[in-house]
Amino acid sequence: MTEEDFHQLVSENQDRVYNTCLGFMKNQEDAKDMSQEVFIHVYQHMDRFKGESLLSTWIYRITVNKCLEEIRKKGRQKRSAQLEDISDPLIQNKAPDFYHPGVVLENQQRAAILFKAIEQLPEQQQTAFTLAKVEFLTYEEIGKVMEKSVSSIESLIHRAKQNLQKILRDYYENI
Amino acid sequence: MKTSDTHKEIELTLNSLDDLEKAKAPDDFLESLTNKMIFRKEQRLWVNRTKYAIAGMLVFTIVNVALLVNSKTSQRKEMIRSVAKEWNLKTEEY
Repeated sequence: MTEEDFHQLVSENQDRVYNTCLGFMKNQEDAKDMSQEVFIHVYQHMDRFKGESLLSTWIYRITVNKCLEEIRKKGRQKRSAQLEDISDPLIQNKAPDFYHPGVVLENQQRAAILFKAIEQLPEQQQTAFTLAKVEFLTYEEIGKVMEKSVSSIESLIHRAKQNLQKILRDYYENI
Repeated sequence: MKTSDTHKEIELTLNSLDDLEKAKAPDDFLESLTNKMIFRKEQRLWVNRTKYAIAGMLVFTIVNVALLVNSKTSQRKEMIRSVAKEWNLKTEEY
């Protein structure tokens, strides 16, 4: 792959990768770092792309895997930090703190609460829901990214919504 | 919060991303990506150079130690042989 081809690939895909990363990482700096890691991975492993799916699908798959990997890593670090100092009130403060720049002003607070709630979903539900709600992928496209059937994706999103309703009910009943 | 209000709020929250405008990558994205890749490449180059340097030094040390041990052994054998010759002894016994 020439440098020019790579630059072309980056400019064609950078927004979708960044927006997806932002949906997962919920922090603009982390999203930028993670997007760069995605493109470095793409550059180093381009030979693994066999053309069996769209290039964008392959890139989405790498993006999701990289983000989930990073979230797991951060979760482990956070847990060990909590074990070290369980009494720190700042760590236990679960107030929504991420405001997506593309959310209309009147929805910002609710969207922040929703993003916080999404974090509590199991990984697969989180992935399907994020790709649907943040990247507006169809169930078919999500199925290709996650290598699952459309009905599995429908079921994942249905369960994600049910779980989110429970999480949000708990949240609103306790504020 | 009342139950009906809670239901309404949950629905509004669940639908709060409906009008989301997708975020765009920062303007300097490609530039900082290129810089990061150059930095990583240089870093990898230095790591490799260090690895080769350490491996080279290790081989050099091992060869030197082997030569030293070997020369000491041959010197010792030579000494035994000359003592044995002087005293008219069979060298194989020593």
